[in-house]
This record gives sequence, C-alpha cells and structure tokens, in this order.
Amino acid sequence: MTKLEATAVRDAIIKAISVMGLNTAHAFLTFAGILPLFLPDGTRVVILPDIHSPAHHNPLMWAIEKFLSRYRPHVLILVGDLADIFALSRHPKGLRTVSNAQMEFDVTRRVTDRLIEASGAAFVIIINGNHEDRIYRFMQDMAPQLGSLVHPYTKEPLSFHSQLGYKADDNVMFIYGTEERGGFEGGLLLNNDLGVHHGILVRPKPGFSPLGDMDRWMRSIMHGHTHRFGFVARDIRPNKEYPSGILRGLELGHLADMDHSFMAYSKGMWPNWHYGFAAGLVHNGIPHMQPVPISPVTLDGGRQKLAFAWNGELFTESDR
Amino acid sequence: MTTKITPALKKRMNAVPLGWVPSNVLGQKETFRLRFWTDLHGPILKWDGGFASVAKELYGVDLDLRQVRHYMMGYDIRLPITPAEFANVFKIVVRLKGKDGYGGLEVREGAPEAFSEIRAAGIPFEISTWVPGATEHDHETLKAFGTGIAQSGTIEHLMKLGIIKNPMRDIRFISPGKKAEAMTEDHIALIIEDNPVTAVHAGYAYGNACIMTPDSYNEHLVSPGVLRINDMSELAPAVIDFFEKLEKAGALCGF
Repeated sequence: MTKLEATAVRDAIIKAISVMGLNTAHAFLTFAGILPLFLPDGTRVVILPDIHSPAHHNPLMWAIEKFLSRYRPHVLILVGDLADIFALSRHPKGLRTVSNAQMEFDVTRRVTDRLIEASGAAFVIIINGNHEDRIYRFMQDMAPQLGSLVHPYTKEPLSFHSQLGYKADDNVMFIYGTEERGGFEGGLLLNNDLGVHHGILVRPKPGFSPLGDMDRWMRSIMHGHTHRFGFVARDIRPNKEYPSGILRGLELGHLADMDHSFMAYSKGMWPNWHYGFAAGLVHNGIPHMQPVPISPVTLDGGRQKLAFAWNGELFTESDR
Repeated sequence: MTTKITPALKKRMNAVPLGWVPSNVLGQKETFRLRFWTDLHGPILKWDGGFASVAKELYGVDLDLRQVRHYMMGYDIRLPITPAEFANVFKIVVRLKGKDGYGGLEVREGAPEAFSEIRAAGIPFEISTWVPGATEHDHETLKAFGTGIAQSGTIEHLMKLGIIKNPMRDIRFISPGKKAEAMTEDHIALIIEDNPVTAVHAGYAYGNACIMTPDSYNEHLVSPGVLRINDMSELAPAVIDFFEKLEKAGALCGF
C-alpha cells in the first residue's frame, strides 16, 4: 500500500467514526459522561492505561512508542491517570519528594505528544481518571473562590485539558465525569458493545474488578485504575447485544515506574500490580481487543527487561 | 527520512569532516529519533546587541560581547562589568519586548537559511532553551523570577518569525545542565549549541553528538562528540549528513 493509499484509508475510517450517532467525529474537545462511539470495521484501536506521568516508566514507554509506530492505530485511547498530578494530591506525601504541578503538566504533554506522533492516530481520546480529577477536587476543597477564573484567551477554567494546552482544533478529545462536576465516571461505549472507562471498583484479585463492573453494567468492560492485569468472561443469557452470551472484562494493568518516588506509597502494600495494555481491531462491528501483558524477560547477557510480544515481534524497554 | 537535497547542498555535505558522526553514536544498541535539539540564543537568535545596549543605558559601559572568551560573560575580565551587574542586565533584557529584549531579538545571520534547508530535508527539530519562567529561582537564595513573560514573549517572537509553529511541541524550556541527560533519555542523538559546557556535556560526557556554532567564547574547544563549524552555511550539511549516516547504519527508530 502506498503512503497516499494508507492516508486515504485512514481518513476514510476517521470520517466513518460516528459519535453519538452524529457523523461529527471531531466535534468535541471535551465531553462529559459516557460517549457512544461507533467505529467502522477495520479500525485499529490501542488502549493504554495508567501512565502516571511524570512517574511514567520512561524506558517502557519507548517500547510502547515503537509498538505504536508499527501498529499505527487509528484510535488511541488513554484510559485515565495519564498524569499523576502528585502536587495536588491530598494524600500525605513523602517528606523529601519534590513536586511541581506545572512540571507535571509539561511532562505529561510531552509524553502524550510522543505517543500521538509515534502512533499517527488521528483520533485520540483521553479519559479522566481519579488522578486527573485531583485538579477539580483540590480547587473544590481548597480554593473554590478561584473556580470562576478563566484564561483570558482560551476562556477555559483550570482543568486538565487546559493545562495540557490542547485546543479545540487538535485531534484530542477529553472525556470527563458527568457534567464536568468532578468525578471520573466518564468513558466510552464502543459500538454498543464494549464499555471503556477509567475504573471505579478496586478488588484485590486480578479480574475481579472488571467482573464487578460487568455485573453493574451488564456489558463487556475494559478499564484501568487498579494497576492489575486480568481477563474474565461471564456467561449471560444471549440477547440482541450479546448474541454469543459472553461478556468480556479486562483490567489493563499500568505503565508507571514502580521505583518513582510518586509511587512510594505502593511499596508497603506489596501490590499485585502488572504492566499491560490492549490493542485490537473492529471486525463485524465488534471491537476485538486483545490484552497485551508486559513481563520481565531475561535477554542477552542475562539482563532482565520488561517486554511484550505482538505479531511475532518482541518489544523491549529502552536501556536509556 | 525525506531527503530533498540539492546538488549544491550535496557538494557542501562532502566537505563535512571525516569522523563525523561520532562512533559512539553509531555504535549504540538503541536507536534514535529522526529529530534533533537546538539551543535558541546563539544558534538561532542574536542576543549580544540587546545586552550591550541595556548595559550602556544602565551602567554607562561599552560591551563588545563578540570578543569575550568565557561563556559566563560576567566573569570575563575583558568586560567592564561585574558579575552582579551582568546578572541585573540579564534580568532586564529577558523581560523586554523590543529589539533589545527576548521578545524581539534579531535572527543570527545564516540561521534562517540553515534551518530552512534542514526542514526541507525532512528533519524536524525542537528548540531547547533556558529562559527564566514564573517558577524559576536562584539556586542559593531561592529568590524567584516571578513572571513567565520572558517565556511567553520568546514563544510569540519565534512564532512571528515562523521559526516554531506548535509552541507545545517545538520548544521546551530547560536548564543547560539538564539538556544532555534529557536528550539522552529521549533518544535524541544531536544538539546544536553555542555553550561549550553543554556541548561537552552532550557530546563527550553522554556520548551523543553536538554541532557547535562559531562564537568567540567557544573557539578553542576541541572535544570528542563535538563538531565546531566555521560558518553557519556548514550547519545544514552537517546535520543532514549526520542523519543520513544514522539512517544508513540502521540507527533511526522510524518515528
């Protein structure tokens, strides 16, 4: 396929994406609530969980970028906790942990732009997680008087997307909680089949959180938040939406640096956290998302590195 | 890599010294982005005129900054100005909008042509520069600069000049001491610099590559990993040749 043909195919898919039944895929910079999104057959989708920039796993993100540049998804979904927003957390902080809110936004923007560039995705969706929600909660609890301030040029209040500097004509869409009143219950419903949101339930055993979510929604579900990687299926009575009678549930793991001082709280928990993400293709109207576990493997010279395999190729973390 | 190289440019590329690209770059197991970093003040914008003008107005001294030998010019005995006075001039110059200030600095001779040639060859770049911002502070006293106007003025100026298009992607404000480490982590192999310390840091200490612009305060520097050009017309050939060699060696990551 020539470059021109590839661009034409990609443009055709993007034009065919329908949001809320309207054929206006790029109409929103922000959306509040659950957004019904209809992706045409052939759409390649990647969903990345819990990056926690600037506490992201930088060497692993290099492997993710490499993968994205090979797979070239049309749609890239960052399913919450893209940024850690450590500076605005109300949890007790380590005495010697340095935080700087603006630096966190600056790094997050760079990390996000690199992912977008490597993927070539024309449709990028960033779902609000509990960490991004720290901005709203901090303002609400600590400085509500500043809530009415807006930027003189963008007319935006202090928010995640405004601090990242994305504008209405960028191909980036932010999904917030209902009515943008804080919270992180917003998400996507892909092809009336797969719910994608940051995640609210946290259960200690991998797979049990999406199981709980499936029971609440009675839909197939994919989420982040728990930092665990698990896949479950549930039998239901076959119906119009799920003729096979099988609901799929996946929690996606995370992509943060466990040794970062922002993650220090987790050390005492001996967490059963896992690295991972999901990638897939829409076929026959169904988003077939494949869980991609990331595991430490021993490579040349006995070095252990985080790695994952896709389509016969091994992607390993950078040495840098 | 999209190369639109004219015969004239190819001829200039043939004059790039042997031994460039540094062997340490070509021998890496890791691959690099098709992208480089460049400093702003020096490689792209002239800043000496503004300094001299403000110093004359403030302290009545004549500064010829083209003759200085030391990058930290306040400490150069050739200048009739103390380090503290130099720092004061700096704090004023960075806030000014006009031609003497960061909001209106003139472009260095030969820079627009060089960067246009590089762009035409399909090689993107990011400006990495230190400009004091709202939360910048003095190391010892923690006295804050207190305003971001120098950074926003710099961005607006560069956009007017057409040097950057996307201020979120084409420029980052970063202290000189952090550049070498940050570019290395970001898989950036090349930086354009006028600061000899950053050049050595990136080219020698971190084993990347640096092209150093011809300035009086770096003319005696010879260092592994650092190519000092004699004229700005040598910049584009050196950069394009660098990435051609990386591509030939299979050292580019493809994004």
